[in-house]
Amino acid sequence: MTASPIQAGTQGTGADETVGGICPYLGTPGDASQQEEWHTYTAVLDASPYRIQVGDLVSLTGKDYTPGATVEFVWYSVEGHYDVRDHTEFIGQRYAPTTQVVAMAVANDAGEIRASFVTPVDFGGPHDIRARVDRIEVSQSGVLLTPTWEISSVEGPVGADIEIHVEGIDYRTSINTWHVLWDNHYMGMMTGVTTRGVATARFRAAGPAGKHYIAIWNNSYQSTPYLAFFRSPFRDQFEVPIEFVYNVTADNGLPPVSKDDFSAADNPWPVETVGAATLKLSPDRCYVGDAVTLTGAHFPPNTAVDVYWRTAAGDRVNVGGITEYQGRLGTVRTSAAGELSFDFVAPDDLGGSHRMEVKAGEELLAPTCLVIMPKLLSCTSKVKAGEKIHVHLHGTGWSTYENTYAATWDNSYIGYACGFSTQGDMQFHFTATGAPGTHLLDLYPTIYKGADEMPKVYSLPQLTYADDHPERKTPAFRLAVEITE
Amino acid sequence: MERNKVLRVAAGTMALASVPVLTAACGGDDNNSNATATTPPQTSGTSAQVQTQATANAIQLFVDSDTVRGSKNLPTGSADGCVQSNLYAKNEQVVFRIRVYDPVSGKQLTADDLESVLVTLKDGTKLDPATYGAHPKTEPNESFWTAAWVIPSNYPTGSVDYTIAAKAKDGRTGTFTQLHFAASAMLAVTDQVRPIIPPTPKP
Repeated sequence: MTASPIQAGTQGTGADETVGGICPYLGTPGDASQQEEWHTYTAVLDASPYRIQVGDLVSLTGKDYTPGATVEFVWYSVEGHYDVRDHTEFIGQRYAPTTQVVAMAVANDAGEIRASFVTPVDFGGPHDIRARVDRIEVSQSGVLLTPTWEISSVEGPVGADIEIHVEGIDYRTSINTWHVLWDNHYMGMMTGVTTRGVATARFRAAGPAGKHYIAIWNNSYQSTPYLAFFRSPFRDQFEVPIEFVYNVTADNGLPPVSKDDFSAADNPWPVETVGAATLKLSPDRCYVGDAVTLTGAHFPPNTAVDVYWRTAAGDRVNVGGITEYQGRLGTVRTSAAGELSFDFVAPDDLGGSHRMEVKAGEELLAPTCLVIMPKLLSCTSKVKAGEKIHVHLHGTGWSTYENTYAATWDNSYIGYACGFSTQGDMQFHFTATGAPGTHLLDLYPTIYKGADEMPKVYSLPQLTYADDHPERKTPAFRLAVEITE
Repeated sequence: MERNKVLRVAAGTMALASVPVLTAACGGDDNNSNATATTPPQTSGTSAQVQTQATANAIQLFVDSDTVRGSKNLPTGSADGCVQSNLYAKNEQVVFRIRVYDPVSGKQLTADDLESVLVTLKDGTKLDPATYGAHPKTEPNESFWTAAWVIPSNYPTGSVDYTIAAKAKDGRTGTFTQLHFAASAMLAVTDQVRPIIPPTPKP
């Protein structure tokens, strides 16, 4: 059996190929705001009020405009995205400037303007509002957008779903990470990087019955709440902490085990076009052990071709690092019409996108990608306090945003587990604690590590995983354990 | 399925390879210090080519800057003076701290080397030329260039773009231009108006 080397730079090399000479924090080199021409402001613009929230009405007044001039009011903001190198290595958050016209007015004979607009759903933080006449900015004002918070419900039984929704998370990375405490136990973090400052934390009500206290704190510099925020340099930006009280009404027994079904969005990585040959996988996303059929067309007729599967092995904690492998799944002969059909079983391997290649000898004819999705194999459901709880998943990934799951026990973060060095087979054990009754075990997606030191969002339960996880929408697992007498 | 090793990636090599270049381009600070070279540094080529380019760039100066709150209109005894910040109330004093370097030798350039260091705001306002000196006046201290600006009470709320132009006595020049990115957020003026405190009459 032979295998072709993977060309350096095509995947997982870590080679510097996207940056150099420009600031890495800028999303789009050479965007408009970087090239804008400076003009001395010739008019006056006032925006009121200064502190606003999403949906608030902002009034604009001004003077010294050319009578009869049509004035556009431009809202300055940013768009965010996660920078992930080679689809696998998390770098950090990146933002690019954006603008939108939020209101227009015509200056009256005295050169005055008056307009208003509803604050758009957007990042929190300072936003410029600039008046523009004939594409030239003639005046400026600004507002400070602060976050708004709401909780989906304030009572329910053990295991009830709870959502905390926020609009207006700041775009400044120094204050854009929020941490949620449940009864003063760390539960997880909230981010809104790719969602314009909108985030929804999803978790469940943990017992016992009675009142439970939720507090949401801010801190980007460390991965914990900063408790003295009211005296911090950012104390004037927004209120901290945000607090809710949740009443757990009853323990009705174990809620069903569940997992988010994000399969519809779990698309394989795109592949390049090599030649005329095309491939199709059915399905193109599946679990370990599922039957898969690879079909192809426009291949050389009556030719034996090899089907290859690419994967990785290793870890990110030893000097050996990560090794990529390519192995042959089998050989198939194309038809006289240049078509092929190849049945195989999804390998017991790492989760995530696996590149597949069909080759004739050393010649690559066509690539494609198959996604392995994570699956729960088993979890202890009944145990006495002091005994071990065993959790077993497979199909967990190897990239920095899907290689680990963070576990909370009754909404208290207890640690994370990785399945990379065991080819996607993740197992961990811990001791059951607590009074007899229902106890919750939740497994949240994480960002294992990244190049940026700040914000410190690493190896924490990402409660906002459903909307703002890097690269791949990754499911959470909702488990429960009964502790008996 | 058989496996053949085809590529090895050493652990810990995933960091940005061109960090030194990026640090130079961004000022290396996540608050508000963002310098841009007039010509982007070269990131590839042989050592000889890089050296040639570096020599060519030697006509340019590296300008680094941040801002701290000055003492004007702060109450007596306030701890806010000389604290790094990029958000200012009206009537507060912005002090631009500026360091100018020879990009080849790394030497910080002083009043003996530079003809002028000028700060210009987006609205065209030109601040009094920066001066070189020790801060604070008593040791332990550090020397750099400073220019000050008291934000007028009627100044527009919002971001304040600015440039800093340094000119050496030997003709070399360098420019700092503030970039817009969320990690730093730019220098900005809030809607707060700090009361003006008249200077204390000297006895």
